Amino acid sequence: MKNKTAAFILGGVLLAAALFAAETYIVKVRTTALRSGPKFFASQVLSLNAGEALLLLKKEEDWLQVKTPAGKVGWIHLSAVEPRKVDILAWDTTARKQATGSEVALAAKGFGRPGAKGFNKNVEDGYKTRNKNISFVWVDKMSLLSVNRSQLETFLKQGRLGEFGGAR
Amino acid sequence: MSARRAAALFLAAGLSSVLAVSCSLLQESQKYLTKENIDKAGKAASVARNTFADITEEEEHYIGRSVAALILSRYKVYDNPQLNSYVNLVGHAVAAYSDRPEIYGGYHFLVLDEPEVNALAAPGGFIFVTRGLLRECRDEEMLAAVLAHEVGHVAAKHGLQSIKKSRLVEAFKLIGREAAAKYTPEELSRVTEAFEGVLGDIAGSLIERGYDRRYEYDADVLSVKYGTATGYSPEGLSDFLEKLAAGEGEGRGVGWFKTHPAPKDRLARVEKRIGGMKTLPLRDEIRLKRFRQHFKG
Repeated sequence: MKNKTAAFILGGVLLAAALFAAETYIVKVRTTALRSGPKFFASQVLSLNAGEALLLLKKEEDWLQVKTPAGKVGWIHLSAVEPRKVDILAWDTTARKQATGSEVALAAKGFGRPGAKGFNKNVEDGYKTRNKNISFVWVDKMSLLSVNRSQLETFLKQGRLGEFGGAR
Repeated sequence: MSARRAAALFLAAGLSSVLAVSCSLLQESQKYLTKENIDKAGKAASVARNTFADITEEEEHYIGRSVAALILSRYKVYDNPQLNSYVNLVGHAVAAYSDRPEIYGGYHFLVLDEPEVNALAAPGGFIFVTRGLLRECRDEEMLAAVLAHEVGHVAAKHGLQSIKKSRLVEAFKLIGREAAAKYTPEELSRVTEAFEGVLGDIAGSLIERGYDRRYEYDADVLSVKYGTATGYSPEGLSDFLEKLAAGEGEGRGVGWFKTHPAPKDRLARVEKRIGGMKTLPLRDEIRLKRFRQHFKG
């Protein structure tokens, strides 16, 4: 009887802890990568998009080890996500039928869903209509000037920088 | 029944109640997660937004794009793919080791065909440097220091902090007034007006008056931090400021000289900070060589 009670108490404590301690994060950048380790040049596990929900497993400085709803585990930098503690509620399949985790999170700020409000593409288009003298041609060209992880890794290695660094 | 057993049973009963309540709350909350209620929650939350910190990453991106367009309406682009590619590599290197390596649309760097010494950072990671500024750089460390200073402005959201509070509160009210997914033409017109006001506040600080002096000193601190974390010698920044201080008379009143604190003041603070560091990355001949390849003549 004593052992059963103790097991019951322990089970209850663990379940309550799991329910209240689970923390969900939402991807807040347009695209990013889930990585195999807590550093930028670790291999990519999968690609993530804005609004995707992730369950926190552990933190290591500015890196979070997380799990996707599909069960993939990997690391993501803190600057790519924002916490959404309430999203444990959206982790259940029934809830996801009604609203995805990302919808819940983004709706909490009143933006994010396609066509939702905020300073968005619609507002930029409105601005362009009212200010025809302001050209966005070079802004669009500039947005294409980008550096992928592999180019950056080569550049850092060549220059003996970052984790491939030289003398101090 | 012993007192210990009674206590254990009491605790077990308590925990069962907590669990039952949590599960029922969970079920209730799931019922509550309807599209309609989410919209309502969104509306309530957006009405509650009132500071620059409540601007979302996506909104910052779109504000940044339009600020960048305003900058580019005043300055000509230096359309040199090789040079722009190199500047982007150095910029991405320091951004990767900054406090904000990930940003909604990524960082983008562009060289402006202007003789004045200037660098500008629009929100959302749109960063500009003039050819005049590049001419002052003698190696990759100096260029990295300038770009890290600009990444610092973006990471610390200095551009967004220059938006007038009253304007932001008004804009959030407009955005959050309706729960519908799309703006009506009338709403769009009002929100676009608010957006123009926001752009005016940022461009006024960034291009005309310059940021608050403390933001510039903060960006210098961040430049030393990010540069060092990347593996660049932080002396790149002190050397650059020393060079500006020496030639201050020539460019006074324009570009960085107009919008930034005096190079001598910045230099004193930066040297003090570097002096307090225990170990510093050293300059490397390899980086000097590749810098020179891009700056022949």
